[in-house]
Amino acid sequence: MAFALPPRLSMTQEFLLPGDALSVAWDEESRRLYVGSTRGEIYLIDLNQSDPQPVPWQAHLSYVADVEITQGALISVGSDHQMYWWDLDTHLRIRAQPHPKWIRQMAVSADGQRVATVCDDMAARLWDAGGGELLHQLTGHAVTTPYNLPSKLYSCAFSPSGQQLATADQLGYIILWDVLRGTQLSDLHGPNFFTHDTNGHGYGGIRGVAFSPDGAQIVACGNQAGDTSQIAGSKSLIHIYDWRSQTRRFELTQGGNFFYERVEYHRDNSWLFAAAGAGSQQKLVFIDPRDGEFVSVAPSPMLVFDICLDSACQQLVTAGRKGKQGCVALWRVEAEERPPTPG
Amino acid sequence: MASGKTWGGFRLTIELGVAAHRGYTVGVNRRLCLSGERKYRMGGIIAMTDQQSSGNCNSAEHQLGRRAFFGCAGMGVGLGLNALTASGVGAALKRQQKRVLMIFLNGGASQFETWDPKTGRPTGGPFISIPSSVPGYHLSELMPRMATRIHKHTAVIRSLETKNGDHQDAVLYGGLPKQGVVQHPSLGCMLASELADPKSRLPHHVMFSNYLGQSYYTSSGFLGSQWNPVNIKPGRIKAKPPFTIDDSELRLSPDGTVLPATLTKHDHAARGRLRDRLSRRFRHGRERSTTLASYDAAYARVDGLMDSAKLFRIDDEPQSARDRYGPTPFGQQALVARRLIEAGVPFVRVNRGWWDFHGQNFEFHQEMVPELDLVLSALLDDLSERGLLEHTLVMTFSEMGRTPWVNVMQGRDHFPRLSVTLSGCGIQPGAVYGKTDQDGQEIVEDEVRLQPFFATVLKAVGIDHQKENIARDGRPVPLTVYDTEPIDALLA
Repeated sequence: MAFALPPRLSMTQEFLLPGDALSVAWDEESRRLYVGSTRGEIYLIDLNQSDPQPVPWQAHLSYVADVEITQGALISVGSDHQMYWWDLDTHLRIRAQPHPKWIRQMAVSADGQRVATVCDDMAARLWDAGGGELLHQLTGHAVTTPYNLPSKLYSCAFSPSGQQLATADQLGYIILWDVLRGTQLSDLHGPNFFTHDTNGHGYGGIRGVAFSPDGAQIVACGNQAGDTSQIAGSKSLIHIYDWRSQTRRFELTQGGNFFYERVEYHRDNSWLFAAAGAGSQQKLVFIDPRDGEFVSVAPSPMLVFDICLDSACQQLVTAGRKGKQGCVALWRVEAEERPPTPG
Repeated sequence: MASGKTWGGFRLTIELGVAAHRGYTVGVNRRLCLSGERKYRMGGIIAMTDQQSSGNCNSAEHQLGRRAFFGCAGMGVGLGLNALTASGVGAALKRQQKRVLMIFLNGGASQFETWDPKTGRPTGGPFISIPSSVPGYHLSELMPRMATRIHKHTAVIRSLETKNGDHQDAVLYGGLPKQGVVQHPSLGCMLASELADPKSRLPHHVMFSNYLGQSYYTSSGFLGSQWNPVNIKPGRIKAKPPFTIDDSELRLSPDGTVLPATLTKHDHAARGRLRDRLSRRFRHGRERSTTLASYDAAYARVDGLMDSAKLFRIDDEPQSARDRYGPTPFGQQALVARRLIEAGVPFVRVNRGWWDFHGQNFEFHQEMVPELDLVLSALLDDLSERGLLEHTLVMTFSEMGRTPWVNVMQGRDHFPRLSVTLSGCGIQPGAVYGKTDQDGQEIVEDEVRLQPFFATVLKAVGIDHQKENIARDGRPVPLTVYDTEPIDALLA
């Protein structure tokens, strides 16, 4: 296998919009982007147009935390507790599935049949993507922090086979679930993802989680120990685990007072890409997943809250904030092949 | 500043606050066993012995430890504490006394995530608003319990303008300077001095501190240090992470309420009588000395506080009561505060912090606002069920609000406009006063400044807000500046 390290990122297009861009879904076939905003709007950006402009529709009462495309529909989840299915052409609401609290993130299985949501009631839910039926409600994450304050369930990801689901919380716990049975398979704990101050404020959490292409590894990203109110004195944090053996293979940290919000593997495990969101610094990094080393750390022109890689891993979309505006950027990912190792 | 003279081979020096009062030496019999270079701090009062005499005892057990006085400034007792819980006495107190319980949200809680949400607006943040029991008034979804109770006991002010968006305690002085010729008292000290029963030896001002900002807001100004709080400080202060659970040791009672194991009650009482006799002798010809008065008051407060130890024992509460207030330190502090209020302590302040979320504002408010909602609603229900709420004003207050805009760290910064609440005694239930614009940027209706807010608080508990106290230089100083008017719309 020829690896391409380090890849080069070059921005090809940038769109500014009101409010922070929290989430993005990319319909490669139709060349359309759907962007979830802090203003409750979903923006359509049609890349087929010569001068594409973000066109909004009001979708939620507050933050559109995540958007995904599957089964010919757009699904959005929000901090208003709502999960909506939308017609891609008319933008009419097809279906709603209310949750008890803020829905933080969503994942779609590789075959497009299953959707998972994670909610601040600390339950993950598995849905039939087409019909919208609830298949399983997965409970197992601690509901409170050690100080009896509410915890949060931040992130989820399906394994490439679609047989496992990983969910990750504020305390640094990852639970692996059997998707078919709705039962717990295993768990992992990265205690460095969580700290608290002397007033009991919990801090940190795993903000993004992803499986490696072979399904053997899980990467988790977030932040390590800092001043709770300033994100000061903190380090960004990435862990890579072999989930079956419940061992942590690598821990990567970087100073600079920011959170990694999202992380994704290259489709053939060539690299791991992570992007930083809230914080005083903005970074885009590539990591070699085989040895757990940073291979490229570049400043980012924007805060990044969500990312999408195309199926060929040659294009990247980032959604976030630039200055006081929401920002969506398209990037070309270019890489030179690494020569085979002699011998 | 302290000075003293040796008398009988022993010297006791006292010091008042930070002001440069001359110390006074009083005679102390060697039998007191007070010894060696120890300072005893009692609120703003420091009593210091600095004599080494062959006649005194240096055993640790016979030294009144510094911690035995640390933070103690309460006026105590007169009424046996068992008697305080008896229904007859309790009823009498309920008739006679007004009390105030302040929940102070150190660091500056966000009005957007509590009392003045702006759902759907660019400044609104992620949380949605929910309707309350007052038609037309919505508050954050993070406060479902208070949403059902607003009409019962509570008035909300959404338009307090402090003109000060910083971590200063100016709000607690009504925006008046605490330094200078006339040092104004904080609201808590003012209320304590006005509401205290002079015959009671209970603490008249108790404060539960938290770990950040724990030393804020305690000056009684020209009223005298006897009105400073008994400050129940956290056990440990650690400035930097990583923290452990042990770093947040919960403390619910002041130090110094329990005698050393080797000191009997009898000996302790005998010492007190001796001290009183010597003090009376020394006071002869010095009757006008405020310093001496404060000195005597401080000792009385220590005695009263020791007698009040039972009030701080949360274990005396049934588990159901503890559960009601929730399992957090703030909840348990609030429960002890209710015990103090019930016993007749006129002013109790429970600090809850730290709300200064320049980063990750929503994550933290999601943790802390539900706790505030639980504790405040439990407190109001509990006080109401005990028949105390009509005599007790419960206020939530903070040094500032938070900005409408959200910064790059997903935080809200300092903002001089905030929302506060008043519940219970003298308050018009369900009143929602003042209004901000659709983004929470400007106050568009019924702006409230600190002095009228103070006047409203004072009037609610039956205090003439224009009453004059005499400062040390002889000038009359009203409780609120002249011509201040309370907000009648908030008063029952």
